[in-house]
Amino acid sequence: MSDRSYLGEFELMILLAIIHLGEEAYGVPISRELEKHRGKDVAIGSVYAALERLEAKDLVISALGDPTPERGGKAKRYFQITKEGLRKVHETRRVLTRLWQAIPDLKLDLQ
Amino acid sequence: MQRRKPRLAIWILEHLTSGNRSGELTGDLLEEFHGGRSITWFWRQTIAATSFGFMQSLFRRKAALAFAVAWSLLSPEWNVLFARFHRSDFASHIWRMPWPWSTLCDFGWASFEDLLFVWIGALAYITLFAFLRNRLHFSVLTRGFCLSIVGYCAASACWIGIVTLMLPMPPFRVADWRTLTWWSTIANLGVFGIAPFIPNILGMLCAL
Repeated sequence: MSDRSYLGEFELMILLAIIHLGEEAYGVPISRELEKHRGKDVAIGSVYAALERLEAKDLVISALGDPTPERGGKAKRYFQITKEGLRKVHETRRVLTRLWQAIPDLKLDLQ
Repeated sequence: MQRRKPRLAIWILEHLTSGNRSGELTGDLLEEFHGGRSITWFWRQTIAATSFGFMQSLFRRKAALAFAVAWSLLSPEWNVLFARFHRSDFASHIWRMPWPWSTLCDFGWASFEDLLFVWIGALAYITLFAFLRNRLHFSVLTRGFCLSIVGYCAASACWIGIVTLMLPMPPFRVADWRTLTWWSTIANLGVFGIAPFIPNILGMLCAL
């Protein structure tokens, strides 16, 4: 995989949510996790669009679960991070931490 | 008591969202809906998913987009072909019909003209690719033609709505340039210059 393909902010959040959720990582809990931490509504369609990109980059893998009646007979798709995905997350964290450490103490008025 | 499912939104999710995950996405939205989310939330998610899917498919299919834009630029020439019909006795007979039949028949004929143009373009593109890739699925062709009607009608409805909303605005006149604001100029040019092509482009993209 090309080293030039960086993780986007949303993609990084999704990967972190997948790591946190473990074996229960499918569309609904991933979106709820993002909503909880971002504090605003998340379009599940955008989550799937990002997951498709991550799967194409081999950063996550997915498998279909069983269909259930409350889902209109549709199966859940469970996602799992790959070794490459985990490596990317650690690399991004390392780069971001270094960048933050290089910045002097910010006293931003965010209000 | 179980609430009624938004069937139209589900149909849109299953048929009009691109990507391979429309089943799982629909399941997730239904799970949340049965968990207490509102019908407005479901529709908002459906529109967002359809828009994301459409933008993604545009990004993936640059060749189809380029062809749709190029083909749609020929639509004024196509309309010239039908100019003789518009001057015919049959057309004047339509206009003599009582309202709303005169308007409905005129809209119907104009839409048929545009859709025929879209279908010929789509058929040319699909046949060319089928020739290059050595495969042509009849189901793909039928689905494309049906979807082009949906795309064309949706874009036309939006365009008619925008035009109706803009009727009170002054039309673009060079003599009044001092009174025009930049946004009204852009809006006028957009609606009356570019927007008429959009139903054709969208219809074509849905077909491809």
